[in-house]
Amino acid sequence: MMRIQDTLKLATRMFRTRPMRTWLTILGIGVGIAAVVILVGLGYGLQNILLEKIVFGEAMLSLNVMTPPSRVVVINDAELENFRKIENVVDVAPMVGFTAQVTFDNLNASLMLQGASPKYFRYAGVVPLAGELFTDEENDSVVVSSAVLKLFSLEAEQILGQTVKFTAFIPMSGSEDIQELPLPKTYRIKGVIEDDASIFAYIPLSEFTANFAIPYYDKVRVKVASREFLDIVEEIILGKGFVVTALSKTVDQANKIFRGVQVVLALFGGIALIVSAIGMFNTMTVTLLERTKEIGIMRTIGGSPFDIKVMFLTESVLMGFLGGLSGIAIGVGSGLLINFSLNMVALRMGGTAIALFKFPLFFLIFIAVFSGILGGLTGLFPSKRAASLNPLDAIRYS
Amino acid sequence: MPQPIVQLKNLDITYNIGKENEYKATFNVSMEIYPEEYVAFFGPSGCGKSTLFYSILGILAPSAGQLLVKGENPYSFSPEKMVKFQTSTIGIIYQAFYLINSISVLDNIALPLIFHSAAPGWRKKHALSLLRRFGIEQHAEKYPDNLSGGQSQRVSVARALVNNPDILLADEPTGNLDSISTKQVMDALEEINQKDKKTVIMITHNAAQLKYCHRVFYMKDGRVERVVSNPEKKQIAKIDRQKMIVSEIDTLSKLYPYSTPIELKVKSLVNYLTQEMPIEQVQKLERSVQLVLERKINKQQFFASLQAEQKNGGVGLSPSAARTAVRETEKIMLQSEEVQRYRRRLEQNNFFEREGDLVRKISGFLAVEAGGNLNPTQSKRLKELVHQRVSGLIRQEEFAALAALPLPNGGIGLEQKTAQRLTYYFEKIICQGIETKGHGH
Repeated sequence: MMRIQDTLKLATRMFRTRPMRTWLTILGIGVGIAAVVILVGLGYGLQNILLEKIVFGEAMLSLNVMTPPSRVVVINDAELENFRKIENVVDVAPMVGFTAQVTFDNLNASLMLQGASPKYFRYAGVVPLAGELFTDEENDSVVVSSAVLKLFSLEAEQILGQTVKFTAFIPMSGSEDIQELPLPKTYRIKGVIEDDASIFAYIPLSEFTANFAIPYYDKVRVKVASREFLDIVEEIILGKGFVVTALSKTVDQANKIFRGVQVVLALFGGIALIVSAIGMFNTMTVTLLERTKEIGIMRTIGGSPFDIKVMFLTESVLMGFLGGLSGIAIGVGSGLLINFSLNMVALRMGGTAIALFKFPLFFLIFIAVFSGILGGLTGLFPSKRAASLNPLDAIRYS
Repeated sequence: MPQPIVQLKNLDITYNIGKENEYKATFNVSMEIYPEEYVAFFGPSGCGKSTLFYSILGILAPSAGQLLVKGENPYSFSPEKMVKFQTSTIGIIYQAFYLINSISVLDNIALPLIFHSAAPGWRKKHALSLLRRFGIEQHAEKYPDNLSGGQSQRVSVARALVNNPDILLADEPTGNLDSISTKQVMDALEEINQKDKKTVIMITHNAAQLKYCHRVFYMKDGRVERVVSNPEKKQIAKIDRQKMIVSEIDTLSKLYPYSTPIELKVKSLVNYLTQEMPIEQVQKLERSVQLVLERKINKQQFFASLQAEQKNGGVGLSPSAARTAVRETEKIMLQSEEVQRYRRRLEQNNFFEREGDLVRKISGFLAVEAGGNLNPTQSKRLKELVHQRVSGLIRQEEFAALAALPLPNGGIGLEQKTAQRLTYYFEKIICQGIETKGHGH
């Protein structure tokens, strides 16, 4: 059994004896690995583009409970209290919405005026596109959706700090009538939330509760202590007849889909990898023939079959590993280059920059290890043959 | 009397057993090689000496008979024990060196140690000390493809010794070397045998190297024909005194190493029938003549050496015989110079009128040998034939035939005997006169 340093020293002779062939083989593996890296990187990038808007943390720990359209049950203060009492529930944050009229710069428009507390933003994963969300201390701030900007044809910077007035239309409980209720204050626009589809604004919930009794809430975010309680709590609330969704489930679903996408992409890259692995196998076989005499010599001066085998395997693992490293370099490099060029085009055409490729570190480490293993596999058969050569035949081989 | 270190009993070795190209390389070989002995397997190529060698090395199993090294059959070893056997019992030197070109000289020597994970520091020191011993330490960091043949073979000797084995196998160790490197390697092997007390088994087909060995196994066609002990070496193997009579056969076998015993006996008898001198005296005469031909001694010294008594290193001729020998030698050497001139011009395509002069001179020498009384036609014909023979246009037999051919038929018309004598003498001159480039070895 040779020392590891000696084994490595003997295994790296190929760079001296056959530098061209060695580097080309490494490059071959590199290109195959690069194909895998770039395609899987694309998968990660797409997944990331979809999921990066979702704020993890508390949002992942909350259930979104809605009053069912039939209104058989409604979320009122009593139910909120019930929710809070469910085991492992940490907090609840309700949200209520009314149609309302907004007055801005002498223009009137219709929107959905929603009342929520700042903790609701956290539990729902709401993040501002511009400006800030309001805090518990403020009661004269409003946060609008980006659709509102479109309504007034304004940029975010132009609307921040402006003031608006609202008139809410409150349905009367127990009847079809609607009560028109002008809110007595002016509100300063503090932040913008990204949502180009629906026109709405958030004001602090207290602005409603201060003026009238809320018949029921539209939604409530129920926060649980940890992720494993999501299912139990969901079960209980569903039992009460409410509609429940969980962000974490959506994320899980999306992740599952993207895992599938990545496998498909990796398979495409795998084809390139198989081709280069066959190339490397070929190199190892040629090397075996070329070294036949040398193997014979080594066998007659005290090298055991195992030593020969280890030497060959080390060589192929090393080649595979270096191929993996170069593949990572090529893959990541060209991924970033493509991304850069796309972003240049996108920016010129007025779009926004995105990260189309994403290369998580654990994935790159996996690829490096995997390529070493792949190299070892291609060297397995030649190394076996090398070890089983008859020394006399080997030494007479020319 | 120690136990033999290598023992072969009725050994048959067959290649490709059971296949169409099955081939039996050795037949019924028996030999015993003793510790600290230096033996040679000697014979022409294909005689089975390499086959025996590989068999002793443990990579070619015999098909019948018994092979024991240090009392054990290596072919019964487990793979691990076989590796140990090939490391610590046997060291090997190949004709083509078989160094690994992709690692340094130092690593080449240390390679057998590397395979057994010896500590790098000790390994390096040990390898360096061997390099120093064989005078190649300055090449330690070079790669083997930058070494000369002699240096390479010394590296390979060092490698063979690195594990301090009991037996050193050397397969035509000087086959690829010039004479100076050959001497260095042969001296190293002798030293390893004498100082390090290693058993050395050498394969060779160079008869000059047999003098280093205790015993020589003469091989032919897969059989050991005879075992000859070197009378100049103190024998290790027990030799039956009466069996070991040193005879003329030993002298002849050194001169004609490839001849069979019967051929040697023939040579001995033919020598008796054709020459007045015994073989030893012929050898001494040859040495003196060589010195003259190489112009290392002059006429007087030549005469002195011929006349001097054999016990004083001379040839031991009578004064008159010595005088005749000196005169004849001188004459032939002088006359051969004309042939040499002629050939040189021919080769350089530099023929002018003097061509005729040279032919006339050579013809003159021959005419004297033929008795001196040739008529003008005969002289003319002789000149014509001399020109053709020296130019290589006709062969020796044709010259002889034409010399004996009657004048009307276009010959010289000499008597058969005179023609033969003339041809014989002329060939001696030509033999001395032609350039020996590309001849011999």
